Parts: sequence; C-alpha cells; structure tokens
Amino acid sequence: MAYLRLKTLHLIPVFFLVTFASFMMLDLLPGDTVDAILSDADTGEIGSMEAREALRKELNLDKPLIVRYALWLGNMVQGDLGRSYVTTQPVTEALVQRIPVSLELMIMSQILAIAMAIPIGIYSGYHGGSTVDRGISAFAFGVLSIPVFVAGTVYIWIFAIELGWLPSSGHTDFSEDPWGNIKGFILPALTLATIEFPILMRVLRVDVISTLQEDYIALAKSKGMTTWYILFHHALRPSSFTFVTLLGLQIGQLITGTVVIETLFSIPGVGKLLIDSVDTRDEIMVQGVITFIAIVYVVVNLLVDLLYAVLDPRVARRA
Amino acid sequence: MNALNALLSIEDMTVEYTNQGQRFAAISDITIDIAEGETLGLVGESGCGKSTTGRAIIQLPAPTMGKVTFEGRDLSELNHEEMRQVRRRLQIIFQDPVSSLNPRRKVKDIVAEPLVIAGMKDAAERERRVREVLEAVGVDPDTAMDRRPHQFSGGQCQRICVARALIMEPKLIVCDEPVSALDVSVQAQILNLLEDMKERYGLTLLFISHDLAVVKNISDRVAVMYLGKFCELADSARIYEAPAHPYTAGLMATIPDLSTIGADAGPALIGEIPSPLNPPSGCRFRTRCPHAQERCAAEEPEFRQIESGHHVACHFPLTEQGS
Amino acid sequence: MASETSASPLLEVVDLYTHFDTPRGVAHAVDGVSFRLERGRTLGIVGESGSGKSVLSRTIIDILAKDGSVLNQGEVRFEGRDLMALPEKDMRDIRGREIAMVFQDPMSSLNPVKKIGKQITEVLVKRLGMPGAEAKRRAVELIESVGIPDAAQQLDRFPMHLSGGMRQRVAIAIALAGEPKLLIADEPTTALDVTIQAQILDLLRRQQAERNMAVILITHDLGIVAQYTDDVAVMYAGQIVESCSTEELIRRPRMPYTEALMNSAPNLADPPHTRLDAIPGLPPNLLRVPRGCRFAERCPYAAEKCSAEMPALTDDDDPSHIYACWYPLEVKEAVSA
Ligand SMILES: Nc1ncnc2c1ncn2[C@@H]1O[C@H](COP(=O)(O)OP(=O)(O)OP(=O)(O)O)[C@@H](O)[C@H]1O
Ligand SMILES: Nc1ncnc2c1ncn2[C@@H]1O[C@H](COP(=O)(O)OP(=O)(O)O)[C@@H](O)[C@H]1O
Ligand code: SF4
Ligand code: SF4
Ligand SMILES: [Mg+2]
Ligand SMILES: [Mg+2]
Repeated sequence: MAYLRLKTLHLIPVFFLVTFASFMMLDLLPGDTVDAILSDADTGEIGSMEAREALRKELNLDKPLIVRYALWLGNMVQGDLGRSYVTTQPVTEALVQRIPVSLELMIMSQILAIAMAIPIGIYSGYHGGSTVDRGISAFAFGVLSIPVFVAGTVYIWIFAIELGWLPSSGHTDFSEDPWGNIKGFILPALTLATIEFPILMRVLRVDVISTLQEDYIALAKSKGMTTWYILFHHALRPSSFTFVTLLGLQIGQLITGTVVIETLFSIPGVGKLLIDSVDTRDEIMVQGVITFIAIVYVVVNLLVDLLYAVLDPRVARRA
Repeated sequence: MNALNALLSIEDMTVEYTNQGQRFAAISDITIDIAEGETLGLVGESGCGKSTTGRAIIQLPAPTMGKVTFEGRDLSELNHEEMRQVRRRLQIIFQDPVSSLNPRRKVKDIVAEPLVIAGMKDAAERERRVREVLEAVGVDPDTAMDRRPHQFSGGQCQRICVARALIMEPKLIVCDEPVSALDVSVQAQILNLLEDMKERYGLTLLFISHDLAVVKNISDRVAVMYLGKFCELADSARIYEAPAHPYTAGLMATIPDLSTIGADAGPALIGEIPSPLNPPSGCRFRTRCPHAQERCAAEEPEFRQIESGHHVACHFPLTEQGS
Repeated sequence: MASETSASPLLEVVDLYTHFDTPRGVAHAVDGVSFRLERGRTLGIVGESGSGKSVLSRTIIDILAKDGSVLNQGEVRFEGRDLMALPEKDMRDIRGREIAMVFQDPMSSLNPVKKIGKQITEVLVKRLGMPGAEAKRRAVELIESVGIPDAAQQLDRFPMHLSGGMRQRVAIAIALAGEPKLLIADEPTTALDVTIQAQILDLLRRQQAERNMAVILITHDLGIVAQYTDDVAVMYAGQIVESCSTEELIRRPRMPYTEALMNSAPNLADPPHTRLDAIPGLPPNLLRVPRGCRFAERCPYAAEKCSAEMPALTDDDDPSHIYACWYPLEVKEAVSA
C-alpha cells in the first residue's frame, strides 16, 4: 500500500507541528510553573530562592524552548512523557488510566451518531424532496445550532432529574459493574452524538440522492431486489465517501466535545485530565495529553484513508 | 507520399505515455502527409491512438519523437510565440460538443474567444466576425449570441464548436469524432456542414471516427489504425472496394447495414484490442487475424505500398491472395 | 390461467402513457404507445435520442421513480396479467425472473464497488433461492456462456478491471441469471466499438435462440434493426409512428420519418462525398407537443392537414403494417406522378 505510506508521511509533520505549537503556547501562558508547584495554596508562600532555582534546573526550565522540546521529544520516542509536576505520577500512567474511559465515550458516541445518521440519511435521500425529508432537514438544522453543553444539560434534566433513568454524572469501572458503566456513558455519548449526527446525515442524504440516479441502481431494481436491499447493499457504500471524510474531519470537534462533556458529566477521562492539568499549570501533563490527542488525530485520519480503499476498490488502484 | 503540396507532414511520430509506472507507446512511427484541401479519415477501435495522433499534431502534447511539419515549418523548432501564431491555423473540434463549451459563457464570447486571445481589440469587428461564422454554420446569430451552451441541443453545440474553430480562418482542422455523440439525423447535418465549410473556407481536414461509413462519406483518403500503428492507407473508394488488410476487412464486415436483413454479416472480429502496454510480437493484429501464420508472429510487416497510393502493413494482403 | 396464457401474446402494451411532471411543464415522454410481442421473437424499437425509448422500457419493467413526478396510464399485459395494476411486491417477482434488462452504458450499469460474482449471485440467491455455493457454480457457468475467459477467476474482480465489452457481457450474464422470458436491451452496444458491438449482438442472438427468450432491442441504428430483429417499431416524439416486420420496413417504409432516418445515415455503398439527406431541424419539445403530426415541422411532404390534425395509426390491407401518416409514401408518389 504505497498510498498509505505516502499518507503517513504527510501526517508526520502535522504531528510535530501540533506538539511543538502546544509547547510554545504553554510557555507563553501567564504565570510560572515553578511558582505554581512550590506555592502553598493556603499561605500563598512561594518557597526559597534556592529551592526555586534547583527545581527550575531539575525541570530543565532554565534551558531554551527548542532544547526543552528536543529533550521531551527524545524521551517521548522512548515512551516516556515525564512525570506530573503536581502529583508526580508518570504522565503515561495517568494517560493509560484515562484513555479507556475517553475511548469508550468517543466510540459509543460515534456508534450512536452513525446509527442515527445512516438510516435517517438514507431514508431522507430515498424520499428526497418529500414532506418528511423536509421535516427531517429542518429538525437537523435546529439541532445543529444547539451548543454541546446545552444539549447535555437538557438530557440531564430530562433523563436524570425528571425521569431518573440514568445517572447525571460520575463513572463506574466496567470490571466492577458493567451495566452501571454503560449506563453512565449513555447520556454523555448521546449528547456528543446529537450534535454530530445532523451534518453526517445531511451529507449522506445528498450522496444517496445522487447515487440513486445511477444506472446500476436501475439495474438492481430490474433484477427485482427489494428497496431495502438496494438502499443498504447497492447505494450505501458508493454514497459514503463524504460521510467517511466528514467522520475524519470531525474528530477535532469530537475531541473538543469530549473535553466539555467529561467536565460536565464529571467523567475521569483524558479531557477531564486536560482541564484539571491546565488548572494546576501541570505543563508536562498538558503536553502529554496534547501529544496523545495529536496521535489519535493522525491515526483516525489514516483509518479514514484506509476506509476509502475498502469502500471503493477504484481508490486503491488510482493511488 | 505526395510531399510536393503537403500542408502537413508527419514523420516517424511516436507518443509515449506512462501508465502504472510503465512507459508505453500510444502511437509509434506514424508517417503521413496531408495534402492541402484534402480530407484524411482516421479510423480504428477505441484506444488505438486516434486522439493521441490528433493531439500530437497540434502539439498538445508534443510528440515524444518524430517531426511534424506544417506549412513547411518544423513545429518542434518554433518558440512559444511562433507556436501561438501557428496554432490559429491549426484548430481542433472534439467529440462531446456540450462539454467542450464553457457552460457559464455566452455563445458570442465563446466564439469570439480565439480572436480575443489573438489580440483583436476592436469589439465591433469581433462581433461582425462572430455573426459571420455563426451564420455560416447555420446558427441564427440574433437568437443565439446571448444564450449559453446548455440552451442548445448537441447538434447546435457542435455547430457552435465548428464556428469557434472557423473564426480564426484556420488551414487545418482536426475533427476528433465530431459526430460520434450525435443522432443519425443530426450527424448528417454536421457532416454536410463540414463539407460546406471545407468548400467555402478551403479547409484541410483530419477526420477521426470509429464509424467507417461516416469516414468513407467524408474522406478523400482513409488511414486505418490498429494499436498505435497504421495498418492500411488508401483512397476512400479504393479501401472499401478492395481492402487489403484483414483488419480493415473485418471492420467493414461488422458494420450492420440495411442490406443485411436478418442475415449474419461476415464473421465478427474475435477478441478485443490487446493492451498497448505489451503489444503482440510481429504483426500487432495477429492475435485476432483469421489469416495469421507463423511468419506473422516472428516478423513485423512493413507498411509498404502495394499499389499507387495504397499502403498496407501485412505479410499476406487480401488483394494479393486472389480470393 | 393456462389457457389464457397460451392465447395471449407474451407482452402486450396498450395505450401506454408516461408523462413527467417537471418544473417547466409536463413532458410527454411516452404518449399512447401500443404494441405486442410474441414469445421468442425480437422486436426492435428504433428512434432518435429523446424519442422515449428508455422511458418506455423502464415503464414496462416499472423502475421509474415513484415520487409522484411520473404519471402513468395504460396497460402492460405480460402473459395476460396487467403489470401496471400489480402491487409492488408482485411486480418485484416479475423483475429479474420474467423480464430482465440490459442497459446502454456498461461502465455505469454495473455497481463499481461490488465484485462481479456478487452482482450475479445475488439474483440467484435472492430471487431463485439458490444456496450460496450452488449460486457460485451457476455464476461461473453464466460467465462462461457469455464468452468471458477464465470464468472462475472473474468472480472476484471488480467492473473496473474489465473492458467495456466484457462489462456488457457481465451485464448480459446478470440478465440471463433469472432465466427471463423477456429481455429488454436498451441500446446495449451504443457505448461500444463496432467490432465489440457485433460480438455482443451475436451473443444476444445466440442466447435468445437457446433459451427461446423474447427480446426487445432498443437502438437508434436501423442497420442493427435490419440485421438482428424480426419486427420493428419506429418511435418519434413519444409515439410509435410505424410498426411492421423488419423486412417490410426496410423494403416498403410508409412513414416519411422512417424513410428520412434511412436516408440520413451514410451508406457504405455510396461513393465518397455523397451528400447526405439530413433531416432538418430537431424533434419537437416534449413539453409542448404539436397538435398535428409530430414530424410535420421536419417532413418534406407535410401539407396543411398535417399540422392541424394528428394522423392515427392505420394500415392499408395488411394489418401487421401500421403507420401514422396522412400522406404515406407510395400514396404520395401516386399523387405526384
Ligand atoms: N494522458 C494519458 N496518459 C496515459 N495513457 C494515455 C493518455 N491518453 C491516452 N492514453 C492511452 O493511449 C492509448 C491511445 O489513446 P487515444 O485516446 O489516442 O485512443 P483513441 O483511438 O482516440 O480512442 P477512442 O476511440 O476511445 O477515443 C490508449 O491506450 C489510452 O489508454
Ligand atoms: N426523470 C425524468 N424527468 C423528466 N423528463 C424525463 C425523465 N426521464 C426522461 N425524460 C424525458 O423523456 C424523454 C424521453 O427520454 P428517453 O426515453 O430517455 O429517450 P431515448 O429514446 O433516448 O431513450 C426525453 O425528452 C427526456 O428528457
Ligand atoms: S501480417 Fe499476418 S497476422 Fe498480420 S494482418 Fe497480415 S496476415 Fe494477419
Ligand atoms: S402526416 Fe404529414 S407531416 Fe406527418 S409524416 Fe405524414 S406527410 Fe409528413
Ligand atoms: Mg479518442
Ligand atoms: Mg435511451
């Protein structure tokens, strides 16, 4: 797959750019890491000059930015993202604890979004221009304009407070209570899916409408295939190019959404870790999280490209 | 051939493309002269290199090897500005009339465009010329000038394409399947139009088509192409009376016409045109030729003259078999 | 039922209308078409592009959009049953099994993302209820029967790996899979080279003879009609304007449009630079069809009556040769003589 190798080469600079930019931004943030670590929250004392200098040296904070980046990069390649300035927990360990939580949330939300977008998109496309289709479109545009925290709050109010079906916050380990774990994820995942599916649905609808004009759909009809079979077995795959592209493009939005949602629902995932670490100016932890997010972004985009080739054999050949 | 009054001569022209990392010749060693005022027909199956030949003549892109001489000048030696001057007198018309016209522009702008490019500033003069050519091709300038291509039928769009080619008063027009996308009734209109325009403007035509009947009707001479090479060249009437190459004969036998009610026409040509990426050894047609013999695989037949003006690339021309 | 089937023709289309409700008006794509087709025969339908050939065939097999923009009327009787009155579920049983179709452009009529094998076996599995393994074996046989080499290897290939001619062979294999009694081929060779065209049409003819299928062969080429059909219907602007046996049509055309079609095609027998008898002008706009004869504007024989009143299909003494013209060819000659 020369095609995939080429794509990977494209994404490597993206990775460096993101990690370096985040390094720079953290450096530009007001306040001083050493102060943040040494200052006593209660008294406001900031520690002795000597202690401060020693710590600064230890953390390499006396070196220029580019050198620190190089040092960090060297360690990162070996899988060492450093230790938290605040809790002294290794960053990788903190990530390993939280990644499964965030991943579960993201995957569940994507499954929900896709599960809503595909049938509605196909239905809308098949009945393109009908009253139902126009109703769905209007509804989708409405949903699109709702900010994620508003959607989350509304769901909490309905399903947790009014109906009491699902918890409004918190997290249970899967190993302790599988059903409790899933219940805890339903509302956050639904919230993320709600804001994502309208666009997915709209692009699928447009592509389905044009695919249904194709001769091979007429041929499938003339073979006596059922409408359901034609839509899902003949029309869906050729119509899902933009859909899949969008899934990849929306990963950024999904990550932002996850950060908001984890905070809103107090879910101990990577997003919450990020917000907490920013709060405590735990620079090295923030850097670790951002690195992880950059890797996710790159991997997802590779997967999307791989998916193109699976969806349409002509792509692999063209490359 | 008849080098004396040749308007265009092509010598050993080869065009190579790269496909999936492999370099191959789409056409190889084409040599032919086109005399001033003649119509040369070029026929062959899809992918045999007809369009490549047409485009190489107008140097879009220039051939990989070989020489194209137009009005006595070697086109490969011209600089950019000189080529621009020459290109006015070398026009091309394409198969799909609708998509070769810019859908957003008005007909008068489309037809006038070559004049603008050539630097004609006088708008009134431009409009006069546009009206003149539109009238010549049978499109009413008053109703057509301000409309856009999609408001016209395929046949009318092809007329507009002809007008656009004519406005520069070219010497030679390469017509690349100009009627293939049109209905029979409209096809006849465009063929008649081309004949009229040829008369009126003293044009020379290279007429490309896969339809032998059409080519025979419009051409003085016909060249038959197979897998990037000429296999037969002769006067239009002659090639139909006495085709010498088995491929030409096969092509003719496959044309269904009104006289063959219910009857099986001749044996259809078996198989399909091989990939130009690795053409058969010896004679390129041997994989489909009903007369192929051992020698055909071993030795490539030379493109030779068997009678005055009749050239063929075959070891065993049909005309010499006394059948 | 059995007695009824044997008495009635395989297909009988009676006064069929298909109109499209478009934003610019109602398009009279098929406007009162009637014909019949006996078992095992080949009917050619010939006409210029836009004359309604494809719409007619898609109406017969009922695959036009069902979104209210298509207005249908008339009867399509297949073995005595009116398909127009059939519920969608029963109509699905007809498609593929009783009537199958081959489309014009094999580049676009095969699903680009599905393997060839799957596109054939799905008919066998879904429609004939064959088990998967048997369907695969049968697919190989079908691919062989349409003259594609290395049949077993072809199952796993995608349409893009095949040439245009090979794709059309696959499309024919798909159509034959359900062993239909009627095959509608809508310009099956228009997108192909003449050499490949001959191969495909020969293949169709051979399959038809072997299976005793009826075929509707749609084309714009009278040469193909002459060589490959038993009967012919000439369509113009949504209507059948002449219909008879193919031989009769070629020998004794009565409708001026048929004659014009014949004369406008260049003939190999004529010397180079023979002036062609082009038909002037264009077919009428189907949004505003003329009141009288639809060919009147382009007809060299048109008289006043022609644009005032539409000629109905009539015959002279032979009811198998019908035409719609006020001044049919021979009659006109007699008048002018
Ligand atoms: N830009 C290109 N790059 C690579 N290969 C090309 C290119 N253009 C044409 N070819 C190949 O060169 C050969 C000749 O192509 P060409 O378009 O000249 O054929 P043609 O005779 O005009 O066919 P048609 O009847 O389909 O128009 C074909 O094998 C084609 O696939
Ligand atoms: N879905 C549609 N909506 C509106 N008009 C249509 C539609 N399909 C076909 N038509 C029109 O019906 C007429 C006949 O078309 P068609 O049957 O495709 O012609 P052909 O004889 O070339 O097969 C044309 O004028 C075409 O524009
Ligand atoms: S050289 Fe041989 S193979 Fe080629 S065309 Fe002549 S007889 Fe046929
Ligand atoms: S009815 Fe009149 S216009 Fe129509 S075809 Fe006959 S002669 Fe021509
Ligand atoms: Mg070409
Ligand atoms: Mg059609």
